[in-house]
Amino acid sequence: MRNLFLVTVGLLTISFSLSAQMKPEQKEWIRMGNIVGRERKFLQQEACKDCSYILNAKIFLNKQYQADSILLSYSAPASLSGLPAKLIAANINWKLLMSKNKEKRILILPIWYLCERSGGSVLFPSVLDFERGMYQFSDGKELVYDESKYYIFPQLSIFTTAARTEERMLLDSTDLRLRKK
Amino acid sequence: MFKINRTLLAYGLCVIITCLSSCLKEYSLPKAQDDLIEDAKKWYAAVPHTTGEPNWDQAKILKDSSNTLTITVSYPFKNGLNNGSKSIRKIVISKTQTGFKGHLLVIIAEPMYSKYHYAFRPSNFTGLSGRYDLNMNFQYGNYYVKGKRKYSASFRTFQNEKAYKESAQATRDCVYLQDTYVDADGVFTVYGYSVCREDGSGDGGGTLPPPWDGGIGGGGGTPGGGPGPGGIDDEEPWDEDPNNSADPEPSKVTTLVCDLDNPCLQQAFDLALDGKLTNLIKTVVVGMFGGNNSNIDVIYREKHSSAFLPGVLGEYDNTESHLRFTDQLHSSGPLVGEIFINLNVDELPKKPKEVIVTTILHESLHAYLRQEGILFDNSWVNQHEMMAAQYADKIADALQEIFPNLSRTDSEALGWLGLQSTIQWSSNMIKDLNNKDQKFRDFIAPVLDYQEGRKGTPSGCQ
Repeated sequence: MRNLFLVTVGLLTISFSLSAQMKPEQKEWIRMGNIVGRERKFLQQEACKDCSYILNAKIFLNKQYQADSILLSYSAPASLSGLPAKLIAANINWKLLMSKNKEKRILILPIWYLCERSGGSVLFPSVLDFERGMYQFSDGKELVYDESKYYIFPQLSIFTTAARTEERMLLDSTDLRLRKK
Repeated sequence: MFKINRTLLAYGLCVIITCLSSCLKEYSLPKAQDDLIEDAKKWYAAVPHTTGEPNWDQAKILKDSSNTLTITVSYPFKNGLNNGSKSIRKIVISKTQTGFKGHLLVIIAEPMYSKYHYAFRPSNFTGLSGRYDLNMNFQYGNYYVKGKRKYSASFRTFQNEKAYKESAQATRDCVYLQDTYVDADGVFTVYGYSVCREDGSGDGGGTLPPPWDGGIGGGGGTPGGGPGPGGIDDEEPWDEDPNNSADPEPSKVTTLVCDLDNPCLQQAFDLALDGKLTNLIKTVVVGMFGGNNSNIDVIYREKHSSAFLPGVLGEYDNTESHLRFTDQLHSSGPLVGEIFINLNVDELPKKPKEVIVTTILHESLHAYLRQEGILFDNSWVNQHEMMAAQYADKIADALQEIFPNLSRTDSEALGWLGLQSTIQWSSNMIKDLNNKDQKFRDFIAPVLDYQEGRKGTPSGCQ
């Protein structure tokens, strides 16, 4: 009886087949990317609900490579104001994400929220975001992509959509109105 | 000359000392962590305990909001759980002002939660969690539904299975859900919760913190790595399954998240994406989004009718879904992220099972096609046009596998559900007009019968 029970326990326990293991840095990219991506829903609070946004995040690391503070460039809409605190609280392993020059303590993460509009187009709320807004921060320093001063991450593009994703699914007589009588 | 050399020597020494001091500061934290783990290990060895020897190489340090440092050491079940449940078991040692203290944390997911969640997440967890002291004396436990405490849980240990079966029937009648575990030395432990004790209304242990408080966190961290945040909503991967376990239904569906409460929607979800199915849609969807190493999540959830346009039974959520490139360095590769599929909980469950499953397949295809980079609202090349051209017959194949008694005619018609705005639909209607027949209209007519409930298998939900 006991053997039967053990066999049953064994048979009923699921063992998932693992494919190739993901590298730790890939997992960390996914974790960080998901945190940034989840802010997408807050962008719906903006007046322009189907706009796309470009910004830079300036991340200041302490000696333990933990983010002490994060500034978003002036091009960041107000609805993203919670993002720095979320990234800090998530305790992202930034050092793991830096593939080279791991001694840098100021990181630049370019973030683009690209929203598909009707017809596949994108709309930005202001050309000034490209001209100045994405290079200006509240610490007063103008961002120049200087790799001797900053560790610059590849651009994180978050793709979203404002398109209507579903039309009416239930049929009615209008769907069959071409019927030849 | 000698004087100059002495000055240079002094300067050089200063530089070396400064460098050494800087280096020591730099590496002081990792050393402190190693020391902390070592101290915890010594403390654990010294205090009386009946918990076994955990794998200290996998020890992690967490820091909670009050800066309390906690060391967690994985101590997985050796023989797994019945019902296919996934679990996490850890020895948790906290450093307080007076020294160390420890407990055993047990988390057991409900089988369905295990099936569709690749990791424990406090905010949506459904299952049991409890604490023991280090002598395996049960302290307290709770049963959670979607992250909220529902009942107090009782974990009871018996000498063997026979003793459990002979336990008072009255006690066992109260057990609403139970899972069992046999450990290496033959002790038989029942993890369960009792509804009759408090009928879900009393607070019981509700004022105590969740058992995992302080013991879970830093889901993305590495063993022996820096202190994690220890709380908020960190994911924690399940313990590895024991090596001696067998899987009667190997399943890779771990990142398809079923957040559905409605039983008819749940059942249809299981039917549509059953691990045993071999049809193309299930294979593609599960192959792409399932698996422990899949880096895209598809979350199926319920929304009320007010969230949809009239006549819409389900949709790809365009507010919360977000995607990005897999290969961040080169902005290339397939897209990854999170996709939310909303199902109309007011309308869809009333439809026949065939319609519910078709809707889930249709929406799953949206997730797949978007991940492939196909847009929703482009002229000519968009998701619905692609479905009409390439996938309507694949939906029919899937339906026939899921519902073996469904005719080919009906399954092919249902494959066109939700595609009436496509150019191909209009083109087929125009063909009818030109040919002075109603071939397409007749072909599509069964959809009307199914959506009105004149045909199909009643779902049983109203």
